Amino acid sequence: MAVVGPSGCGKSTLLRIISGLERATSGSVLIDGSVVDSLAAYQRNVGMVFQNYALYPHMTVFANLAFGLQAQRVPHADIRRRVAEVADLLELSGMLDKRPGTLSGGQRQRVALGRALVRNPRCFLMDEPLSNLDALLRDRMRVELRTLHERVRIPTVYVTHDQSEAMTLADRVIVMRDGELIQAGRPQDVYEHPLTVFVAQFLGSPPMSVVQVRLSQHHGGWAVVPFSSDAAAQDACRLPAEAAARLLPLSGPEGQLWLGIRPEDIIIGDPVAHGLDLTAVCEMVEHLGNRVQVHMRWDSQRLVALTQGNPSWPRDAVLHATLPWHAVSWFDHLGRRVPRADDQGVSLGLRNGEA
Amino acid sequence: MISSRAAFLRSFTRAMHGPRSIGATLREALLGYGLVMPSALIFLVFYYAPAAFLAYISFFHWNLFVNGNQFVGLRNFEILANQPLFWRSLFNTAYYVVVLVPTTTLLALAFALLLREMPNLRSGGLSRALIFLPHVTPVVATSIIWVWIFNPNFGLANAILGFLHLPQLNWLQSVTWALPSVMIYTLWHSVGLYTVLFLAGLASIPKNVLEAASVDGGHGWFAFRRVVWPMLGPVTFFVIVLVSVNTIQTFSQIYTLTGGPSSLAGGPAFATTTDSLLIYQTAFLYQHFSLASAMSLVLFVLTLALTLIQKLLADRIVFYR
Repeated sequence: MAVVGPSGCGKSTLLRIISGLERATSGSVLIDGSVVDSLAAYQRNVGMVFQNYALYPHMTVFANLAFGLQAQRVPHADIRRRVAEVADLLELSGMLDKRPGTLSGGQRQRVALGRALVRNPRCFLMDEPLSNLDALLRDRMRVELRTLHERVRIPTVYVTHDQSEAMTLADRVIVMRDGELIQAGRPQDVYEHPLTVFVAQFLGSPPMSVVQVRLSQHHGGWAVVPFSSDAAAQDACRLPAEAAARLLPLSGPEGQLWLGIRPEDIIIGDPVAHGLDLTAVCEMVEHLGNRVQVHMRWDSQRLVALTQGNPSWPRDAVLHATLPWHAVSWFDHLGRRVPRADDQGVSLGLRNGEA
Repeated sequence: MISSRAAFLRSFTRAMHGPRSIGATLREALLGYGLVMPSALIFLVFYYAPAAFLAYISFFHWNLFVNGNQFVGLRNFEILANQPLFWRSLFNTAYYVVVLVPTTTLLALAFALLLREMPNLRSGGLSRALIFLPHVTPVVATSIIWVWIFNPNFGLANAILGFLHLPQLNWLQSVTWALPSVMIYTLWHSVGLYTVLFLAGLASIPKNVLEAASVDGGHGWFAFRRVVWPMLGPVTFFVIVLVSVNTIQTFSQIYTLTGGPSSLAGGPAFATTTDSLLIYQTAFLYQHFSLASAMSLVLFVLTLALTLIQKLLADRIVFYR
């Protein structure tokens, strides 16, 4: 399970409360179904990996790994066996006599993991474990972490501000903001069905484009107009009747709503049926090798689209973009998700008392 | 504008990295020596020169008021070796150091650990101040107060013993208890300084490492012995060396507590005559300057040896980050 959120939202505090390093002002911590509130950190048998590893600098790698077992007065022979196993698993066998100061970032990372792993804890707590590594190593360790997790299957709470880590590593994702849990669920569900504008704009790289629009009467139906614009509604922006019926009661006093669209869902060029067609002004085209990121302006609001190929639109070129209705996420004027037909059956966490 | 900035950057880079003329190097060197000169001179005139002179006269029969100093070789050291009082003073010094180094270090560490646990900021700060306060008082002034505290008839020390139903002591007037009395005073006066050093050492241990130890299941004595204590190694070593050097050289409190300018100092019956006190008395009471110099040289060599031994031990035991 991964916990994501912007810095200062309480992710680390959550971990520290679970580990027993900090006390919760209200509520309870349950591990394996038993309340552990009255237990100190050293009694809870959780394994924690700190952001800066927090290895014991004066001990060898072996002693670092053995510390927790020695604290539990495990017999020497067992300690040696457990440490050897874990060192083997994490490819640390060759460096058991070294001090942490002589190790590289990735090796220290593995020692920190091993130290948590060796005691066979009831759960793993990881506080941004990859954030001190360089990009290349981070990608490799991410894969290794996932592999490790699949081998040992110890419940893990993984705190990160990097949403891509959360998406790739976790079975479940929790999005936090200002100390509150905003959404919990499977990564793909949270990605596709964000509960709020905040979640929509936090997950994904680039994140979902969210623009403020208003509904405007048009030929007896309703059409979507950029909120800031006075322009008359156009045919192409006509809203399907059932969507209009759903959205109207939820729009703000001036008919405002939030429209969210994932960059990969925007179609530029050839219009498709059942979509919102709009004309946008090209601001910048970024070639990222395997894909192209197009920054556009629709009225005064920004949209980002991902396409393939080798487009070479100049700045200020007028682009025709289509936002397929099925890919659009609607949010009411307060930023809360307007449920879509396919939201049914998807666990969005909060209401089920999950998390 | 741009070109002048580029020119400046070029010249700056050259100045930083490029080959420099001998003149510039010389100028820099002269400036450096010039800046060091004032303090170097003070050290030279008031510290190194007298020390060298001391070493020099310890091989002479030397008198402040008489001309015709005579080279006597190792005669002064020979006299010392045959002088029971000198051996007694070395024994007293050793006794004093051997007791005070561990007690001061352990007490300072205990105070530091206690103070760190003080949850309340205000009471914690107040306690720190109270523990450090004795160290900023003048030794001579507070020694005189402690003479009263150690007074066998109406002193505070015996009052406390009486309150605890313990036998009364003669403190500074007892051959057995005189030097321990001085130790108690020294402990009171100096422990605050070392407590502060240990507090700084404790503060330098990353909080994360302690938390990791706690999550790892280590707590109490185990965590202290395996994590806190090793990581305090450098500070502990520093404190031990400092206490050793300071106690070897202790003079003021012994002098004041045991009799001051009178020839009684160091008593009763030479029970508190340490090396530094004997040096003072030999030189300034009995005018045997060359003998006192020889003693100083012996004390210097002993101090140096002790520090070197400690250093060698520390290099093997202490972990430096």
